[in-house]
Amino acid sequence: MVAGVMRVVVIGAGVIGLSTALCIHERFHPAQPLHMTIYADRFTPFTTSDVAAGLWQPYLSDSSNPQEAEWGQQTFDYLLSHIHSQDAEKVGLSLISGYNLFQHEDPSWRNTVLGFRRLTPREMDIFPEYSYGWFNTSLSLEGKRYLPWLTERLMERGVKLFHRKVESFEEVARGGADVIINCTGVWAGALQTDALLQPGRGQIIQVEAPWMKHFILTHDSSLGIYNSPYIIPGSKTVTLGGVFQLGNWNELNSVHDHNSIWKRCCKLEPTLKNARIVGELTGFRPARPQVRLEREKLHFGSSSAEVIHNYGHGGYGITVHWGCAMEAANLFGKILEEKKLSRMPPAHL
Amino acid sequence: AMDTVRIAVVGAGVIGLSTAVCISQVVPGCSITVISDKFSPDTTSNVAAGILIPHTYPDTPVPTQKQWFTETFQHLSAIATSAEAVDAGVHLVSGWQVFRSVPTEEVPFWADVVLGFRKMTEAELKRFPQYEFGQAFTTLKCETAAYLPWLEKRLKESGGLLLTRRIEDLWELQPSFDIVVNCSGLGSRQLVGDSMISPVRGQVLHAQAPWVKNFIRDGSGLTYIYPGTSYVTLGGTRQKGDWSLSPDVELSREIFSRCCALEPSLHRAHNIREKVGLRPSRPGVRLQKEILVRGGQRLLVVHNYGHGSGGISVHWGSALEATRLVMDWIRTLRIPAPVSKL
Repeated sequence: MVAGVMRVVVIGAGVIGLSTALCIHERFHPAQPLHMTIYADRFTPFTTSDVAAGLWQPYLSDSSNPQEAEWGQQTFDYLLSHIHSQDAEKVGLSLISGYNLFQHEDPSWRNTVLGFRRLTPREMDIFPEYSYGWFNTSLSLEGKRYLPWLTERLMERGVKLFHRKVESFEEVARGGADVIINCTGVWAGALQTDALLQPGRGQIIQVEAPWMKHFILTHDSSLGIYNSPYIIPGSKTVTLGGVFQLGNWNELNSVHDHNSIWKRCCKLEPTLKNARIVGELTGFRPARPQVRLEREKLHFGSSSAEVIHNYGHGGYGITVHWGCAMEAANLFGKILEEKKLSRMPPAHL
Repeated sequence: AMDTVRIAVVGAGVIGLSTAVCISQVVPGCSITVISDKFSPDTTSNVAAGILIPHTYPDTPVPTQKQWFTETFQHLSAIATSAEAVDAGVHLVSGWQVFRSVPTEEVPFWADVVLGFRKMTEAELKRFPQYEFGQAFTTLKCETAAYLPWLEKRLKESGGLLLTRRIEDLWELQPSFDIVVNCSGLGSRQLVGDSMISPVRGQVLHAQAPWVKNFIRDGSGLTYIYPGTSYVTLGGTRQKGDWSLSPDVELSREIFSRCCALEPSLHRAHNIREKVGLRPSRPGVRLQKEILVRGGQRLLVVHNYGHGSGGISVHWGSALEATRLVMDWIRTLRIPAPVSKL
């Protein structure tokens, strides 16, 4: 029985959209011919993924969904296996070590990262405001490099990308899509109401400080995740941050946030006063109690479309993206099986 | 009133400048002049990457080496966490030292001086399939391109002088100076006739590869990758008795290839430049007093040279010891001589 062409539309071209598209296309095409299109109203360098510093690090406490820890582990292992490829720098991937400072117990992902250990008393002397911390080597994956690389891989495979604002799932279904992959991030609510999804507004300052070789993340449980100063060196600039404002949709940079980030980061790392500011960005983390990664069958009159939702990755999208892409591919595989079964002639004929 | 003691420091590499600064901080009532034919960026120190990992001197007792390293590490740590860090070119860097086979000494004498020293885990070693054993730690990088000018500035601020001049004979410094501190490195071979010091040629590459944030060093010390503020240093070579300062293109290719084997992403490094330095190699550091006598004249000398590949790692400890020796000489000077002829 010849498999017909499946028309797949991916909505969203951030790290989730592009990696899910690639994972599914690599796994199933051409054994199952796919006609895949990506629609998005924002492409790199204007996506949320481009604002993120790109450090692999889950939140300190486990999510309510234990699968998220697995997805994070799968993503780390997948990226680490590519660290020695000659293309690593082109992909925007490198190793980076650094410090997490605060008062908390060891995170569950201590065995995922490399060389996790508690900080020694002499190291704590470097950070006089803190009483406890740890050191580990993790991975840095920069959206500004990774997204173009993913785009190239997709285009090589014949996937087309279009700048288009999708107004509804129905419009895409009526356009002929058999499967819709919804990777619309913080804007998913525009396609389908989701009371659990909120923007977790973040603002960052980009500086030139090439002497900084370690990330430094501080945590204060009373303020909530990422509302405490953090410093994350990238390949060209260093990202300073520490703002996570639930419900704030203001896309403009705030002077108040700038001053707060600058002051607190300089206190944490005094050498920053020598750093030149070269950029400032605002992004909305797609905050949700847990990632929405599931199927949904939508009906429009007599027709229907299979939707795979893959959004709501909060401040750890890059951290779990590949594990989620693989799970989305698993769900896609199930859809294919079901379609095959439904096309098979009944056994008694 | 006591006369000002006039001190000449010969040599303006890391040893000369740090010794001069140390003396100016510790010894009251002295004037200091640093005299050298070369200043930054043309000294041997400028070629060194400046990573604080000690070199072992066969003829210097280990406790002494450890003391010098500890004093240097503490001194630079204070700078690294101060407002001066960027001007002085001192910052923390973490990384790995990997060994093809388990070394006899798994924990070196300096393990408790650097930060967070531990053995590498199995998972970390997986990245280095040709290597069986490794150490992970955080240490300091003291970048001479910034550090030497910073020392020069501090010296001038305290009234010290810098003089560009080639000294062929220490007696040239008489009678203008009371004490001479000889920090002439490899130059001592000619300047004081020390045949125990000889060059160990080192060639390195400076490459743009800003995504590399961790150092990697082969335990043999021959191959290393040291990320810095403006470039990554890739090394190296150890060519005994080789005086040539011209880069060897074949060697550059070979160094690059060895480094890429440790860190394949380096294939995408660009803007690669070659540098050569001659390590002032000696079985032990010469750190001692000497009186030179000629006719009726005497010249009080403190030698501080022969630091080989470990100069930056021990420079401050060495400077402190040289300063103590200078103070010994000053005490001698201030005791009135029993007879005018010696």
